[in-house]
Amino acid sequence: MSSRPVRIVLMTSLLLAPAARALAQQPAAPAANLFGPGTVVVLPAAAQEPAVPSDVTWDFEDGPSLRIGKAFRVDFTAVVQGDFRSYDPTPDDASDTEELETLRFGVEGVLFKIVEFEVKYDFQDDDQPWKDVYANLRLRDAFQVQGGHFKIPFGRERLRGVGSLDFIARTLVSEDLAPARDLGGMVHGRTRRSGVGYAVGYFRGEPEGAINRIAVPDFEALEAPDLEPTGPIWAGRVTVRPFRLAGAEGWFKDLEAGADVMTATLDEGLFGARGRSWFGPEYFPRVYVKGRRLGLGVDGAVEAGPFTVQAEYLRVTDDRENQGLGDETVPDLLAHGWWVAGTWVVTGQKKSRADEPDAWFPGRGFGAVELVTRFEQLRFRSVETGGDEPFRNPRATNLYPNSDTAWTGGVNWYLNRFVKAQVNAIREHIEDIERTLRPGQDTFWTYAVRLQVSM
Amino acid sequence: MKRDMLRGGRWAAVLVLLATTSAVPSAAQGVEDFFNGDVLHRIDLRINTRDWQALRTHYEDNTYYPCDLKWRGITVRNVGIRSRGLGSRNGTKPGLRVDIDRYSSGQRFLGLKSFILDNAWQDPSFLKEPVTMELFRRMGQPAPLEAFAQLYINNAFAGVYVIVESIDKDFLSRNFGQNDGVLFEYEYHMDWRFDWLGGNLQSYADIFLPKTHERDEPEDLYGPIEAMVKRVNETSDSRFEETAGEYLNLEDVMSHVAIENAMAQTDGFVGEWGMNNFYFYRFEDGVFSRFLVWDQDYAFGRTDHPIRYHLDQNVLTRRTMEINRYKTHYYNRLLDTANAMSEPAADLPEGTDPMSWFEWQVEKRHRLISQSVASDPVKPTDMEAFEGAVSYLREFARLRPWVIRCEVAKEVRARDADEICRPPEGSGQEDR
Repeated sequence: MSSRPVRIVLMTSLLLAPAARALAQQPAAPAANLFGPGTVVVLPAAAQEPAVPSDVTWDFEDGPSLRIGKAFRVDFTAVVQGDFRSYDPTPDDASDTEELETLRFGVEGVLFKIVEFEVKYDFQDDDQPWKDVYANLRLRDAFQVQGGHFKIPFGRERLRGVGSLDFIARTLVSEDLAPARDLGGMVHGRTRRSGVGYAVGYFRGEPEGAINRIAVPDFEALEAPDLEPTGPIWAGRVTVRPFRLAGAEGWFKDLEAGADVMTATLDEGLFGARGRSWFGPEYFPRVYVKGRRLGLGVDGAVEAGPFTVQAEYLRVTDDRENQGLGDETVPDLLAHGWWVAGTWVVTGQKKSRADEPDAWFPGRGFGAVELVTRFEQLRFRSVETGGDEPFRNPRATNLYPNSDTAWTGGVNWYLNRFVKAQVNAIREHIEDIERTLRPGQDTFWTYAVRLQVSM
Repeated sequence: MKRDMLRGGRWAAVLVLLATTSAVPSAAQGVEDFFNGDVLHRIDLRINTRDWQALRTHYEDNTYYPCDLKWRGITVRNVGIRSRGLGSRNGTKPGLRVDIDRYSSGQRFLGLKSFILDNAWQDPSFLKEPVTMELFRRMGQPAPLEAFAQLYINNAFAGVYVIVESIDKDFLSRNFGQNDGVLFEYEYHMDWRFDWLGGNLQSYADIFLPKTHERDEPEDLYGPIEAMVKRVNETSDSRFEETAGEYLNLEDVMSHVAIENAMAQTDGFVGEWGMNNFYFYRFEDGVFSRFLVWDQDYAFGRTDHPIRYHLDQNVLTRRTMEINRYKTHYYNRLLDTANAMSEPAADLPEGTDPMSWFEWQVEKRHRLISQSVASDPVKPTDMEAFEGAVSYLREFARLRPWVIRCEVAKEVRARDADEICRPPEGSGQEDR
C-alpha cells in the first residue's frame, strides 16, 4: 500500500470532497443540480456532452450513478474511514494509533432489472482486498440466486455493511463467531408484505472472518506449520416480523426476529474459535479441533421513532475428535456470546431517516446526533468438564473458561448523508487474569474516534 | 559485599524454600532428587501423537505442545514442551524444553518452572556435559544441575536424555540468593571476542537475549553491556582493573575460563569460533555482573588442549591476563582444577579399582546409562561409537590433570617442571 503521508493526503481529500460538496449545496438549489463549482463531480460536463446517447443519464442524488434507460444502472460507491484510537493502560507494544481504516471503492448495479451485481475493493485491506464480488439473479423478490464472494448469511450484525454500523467496531461476538465473506452460492428471498426473509448458502470454507482465518500457532515459531482451512460451510438465516405478519399495529410492528445456523467440517489442527479483545491480545487462543463446527444464533431488532434496540446471541461448538493428550475425543469447544444495543437520535429524527437532507450540515441544520450504548459478553469453555479440572492448554479435556465482557458508549454525528463522525469509549473486563495483555490486570479501556465518508 | 555474596552458596535454604513452595505435592521428593546424578531417572510424557509427530517434523520451530509429565509417581498436568537447541536440533531425537508454567503461570514441579531434556546429539558419549558441570560445581562455580533420564513418550522408550536445570530465576535464587537482576542468554550470531561493537545498542540486543525484564527499555537492558564492553576495550592499562572491576569480578571470569580450558572446551567463553555458551547475569541495583556456564557438549577436546587457549584473542581475557595478579589466579585455578580432577575417588563401590574423582565421574555415569543407551532407539551413533567415545573420556580423565600441571609448570618456568612433566606410569605417554 501507499506510504503514510500519501494515505493521509488521500484520506483528507476524500473526507473534504463530500463536505465541500455539501457545503456548496444551497437549500433552494434544484435537486438536479446539487453541486456547486469546485466539486470533483463531473456532472456539468457530462450533462453537456452531446455525444452521449439520450437514454444515458447520470444521477447524483445518492452518489454517482450511471443509467442506460431502464436496462442498466451502475452506482459508484465509496467508504472511507479514518480512525484514532487510544488505550488505557497503554499496551507495551503499541501506542495511540491513527490510521486510514477503510478505503473501499466499488460499483453495484442492475442489468435488465433481473441481474444485480456488486464489486468492491478495499485498498486498506492487504489480506483480503476484494470484498463483495457477486451477481444476484432476482427471479422474484422471494426467490433469488446469488453467486460469488459475499457475506455468509450468519449473524445479524455481521451482515450489516461497515459504513452503516452504529458503533466504530462490530461486537466481539460478531468478530469472532460469525464468518464474513466467502466464495459460494446462495438462494435467498424476502416477502415485502410479511417481512419474512430467508437465505441458504454453500461456501468454500475459507471466509475472511476471524473464526476461520488461520494463524501461526505460536508467535515464536520460526516457520509456520502447514495448516489447512476448514471444509465447506453450509449456512442459513431466517428473519420474520411476527407482528407485521399477524397484522398488528403499533411501535413494535416492525420488530424483526432472526435465527441462524451454520455448519462446517473442521480439519484437524489449531482451528478452534478464538477470542480477541479490542485491546489487542487473544484472551482465548485457538485450541485443537477436528470434526464439525456448528453455529446457531437468534436475534431481534426494533425501531421506534428515534430509538432502536437490538440484541443477538450466537453460539458455536467445535468438535475435538481425538484431540486429547492421549488421542481421546474430548468435549467440544463452546464459544457463545450475546450483545444488546440501544440507540437514541437525540435530535429527534427517526433512526432510519437520521441522514435525511432536511437537517444536513452545513446549510440546513446541525445534522443528527445519536447516543449509543452496547453491552456484550463472549465466553469460551468446554461444553462439559469431562470430569477433569480445567486447564489452559489447547488439548485440555476441560478447557479453562475465559470471557470478555465489554461496555461501549458513544456518540454519532450524522452531518449529512455522506459524512459521519463517531466517538466510542469501550471498557473491557477479562475473566481469566492470566490471559490478558497484562497478567494481573483485567480491565482495559479503549477510546476511539472515527470520521467516515461514504456514498 | 556483592562479590562475597556471589561465592556464598545458599543451597540449603533455597532448596528448602523451593521444596516447600512447590505447587505439586511431592511427598519426600525434592529438586535435589530430580537432579540426583547417581540415578537413572524415568520421565514420562503423555502427549497427543499428532503433536509429537508435528514436533519432530517441525523441529526447527519453537511451537509449544501440551502434555502431562510424570516422574516417580508425581504427575504434573498441563505442561508445555518444545523443540530446542542450535546445532543439536533434529527431528529424530529432538531436544526438549519443558515449561511447567507454560499454561499456568503459578505452576511448579518440585519448585521448578522449567527444565531441559538435552538429547546429547552432538556427544556420542552422552557424558561430556554432565561431567563438566559436575566439575564446575566442585570448583565452587554456579552451574546447572544435571542427571540422566530415560524418556518415555506415551509409554514408548524415546531415548536417553540429560536432564538439565534451566538457568532462570530459580537458578539465580539458588546460587545468589536474589533473582530480580537482568538475566541474558548469549545467542551466538558471529565470531565475537568482546570487541566493542559500537554505540548502537541493537548490536548487543542481537546477541544478549533478556530472559528476565524482557520489556525493559533497551537503554536499561543493553546500555550497561555496551558501556562495559566499551570500557573493557578502551580503558587504559593503568585503570583497567578498577574499571572492569566495576562490572565484573575478574577472578571469577578467569576461574570460569580456567575450568573450560582445563576441560578442553572449544566452544565456550574463549571458543574456537568466538564467545559462546554462557549466560550473563546483571545483579540487582547496579551494573555488577557475572558470566554463567552453559552447554559443554564440546568439552573433552584434545588431551593436550593448550591451557592458554585463545586467551589472547579475547579482549577481556587478554587484558586481564596482562595483570600479574589475575595471571597468577588463572594458573592457580588451573592447578586447583587439575588437583580436584585427580583426587582419589571417595565413593567407589566395593570391588572397584582405585581411580581418581575425575575418572570415576566418567566411569559411574557410563555404568549408569550404558544398558539404556544400547536400547536407545534414536541414539546419535551406534554402540561402538558410544563405547569408543567413553574410552576417550577415560583417557582424557586419566591424562588431563598431568597435562595441565605440566603446561602450567612450563608457563611459570617452575624449577621442577621436568619432574612435573614426567608422564605417569602406565599412561602410555612415556615417550612424550
